[in-house]
Amino acid sequence: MRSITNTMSRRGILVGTGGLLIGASLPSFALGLTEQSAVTFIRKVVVDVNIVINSNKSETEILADFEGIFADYSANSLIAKTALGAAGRKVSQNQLAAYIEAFQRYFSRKYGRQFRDFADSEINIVGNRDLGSKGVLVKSIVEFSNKPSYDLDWWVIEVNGQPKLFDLVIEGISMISSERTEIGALLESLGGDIDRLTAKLEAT
Amino acid sequence: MFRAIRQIGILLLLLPLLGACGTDTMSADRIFDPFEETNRQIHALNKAVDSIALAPTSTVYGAMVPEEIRDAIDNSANNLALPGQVINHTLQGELENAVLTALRFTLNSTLGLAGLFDPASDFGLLALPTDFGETLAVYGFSEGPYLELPLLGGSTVRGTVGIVVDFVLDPLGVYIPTPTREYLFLLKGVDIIGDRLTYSDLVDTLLYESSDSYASQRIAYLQNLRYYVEIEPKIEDLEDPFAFDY
Repeated sequence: MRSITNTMSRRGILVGTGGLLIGASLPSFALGLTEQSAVTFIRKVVVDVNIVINSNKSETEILADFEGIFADYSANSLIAKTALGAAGRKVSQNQLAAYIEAFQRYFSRKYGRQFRDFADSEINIVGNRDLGSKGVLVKSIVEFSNKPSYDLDWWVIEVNGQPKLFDLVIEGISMISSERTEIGALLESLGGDIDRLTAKLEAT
Repeated sequence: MFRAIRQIGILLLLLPLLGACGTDTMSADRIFDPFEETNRQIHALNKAVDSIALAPTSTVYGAMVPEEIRDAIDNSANNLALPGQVINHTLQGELENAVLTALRFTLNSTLGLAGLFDPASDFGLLALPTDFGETLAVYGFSEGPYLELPLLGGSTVRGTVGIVVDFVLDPLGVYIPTPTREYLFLLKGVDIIGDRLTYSDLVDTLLYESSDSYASQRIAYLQNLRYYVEIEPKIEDLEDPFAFDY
């Protein structure tokens, strides 16, 4: 279990300062998203998460709040479609809309729980990398007093003029990739039937 | 020692089978798994061992052994891995990391009472883990096919060669007399139980909450490996977030 144990310790972190130069040399792109605004956006997410953690609410209420934060700040429908991949092009608009709705609830429940892990931690933003038309990667380290810290990258994109979270990458492990694997496996086990996939996600 | 060198030589001769990876980077999602059928059988075995033995043992371990002692065992096991890491940092040409790791070992073995405590981290000398698999990557060997190893979990052909070489290369394994060596094996075994406890949420999610735990573990393992071993991916190799904006 090398992946899970040995490499969880902290190592040197590459901070993409080179991205600053690339960003500056490009003509002002249609995207309004800048490295500055992406970092500001992630700081806001972190503040909101910390307010919930320190709120003395019950476990159930905290989880509900996290689900809400996650739903507000993520590029939900794009993430749902990316997880489904090419299979989504073959279904009707109604089927797709139902899937996206079910996925959003499944997804914010699942990753709202991830935020709970940030309790007792300090999330320090350590750098960012301009990805051009693909958005901005904000790099942070999640530090704990009683367990090893880990790297957490926030991939921010612009959707309808607003910064939104597209992916969370923990020690290199991408949430989008994990969900694509999960949704792909589910869909295959259900004979490729998107309606059954939607029902399954609703029940999860 | 000569036997060890010969064994390493034989292993290194096998490596051209992997081929060098060159400089072009590829998507972080890529999967090369020609032995998937066998890997999946081993995965089923590993999962059974985890659910029958490792997971319950780690729960009992967590309940019965105080945190201070668990930490001390974890520190000791980690400390024993440091001499091998010094060698690998050196082979990789990372001399600064080699010196820092050697200092960490010296400090924790003395002030830290033979590694039971970790004063080095308090001085800012944090762990810089590495292995021979990473050394091979530095020398340009590609990771090769994905492998799931019995009891050890995810790996690659390059990583597996690395595990064997690390075992032969470990200065502690060469110089420590036999009763102590057996004790050290036991220590490592207990540490695996402790790690299973520390990362229980993560392991449980991967193994028991995924629709296809084999595929989930594989992608998580490969991405984590590449995060440390490869250079930062170029922007054009990153996935296009808007590719499925249909």
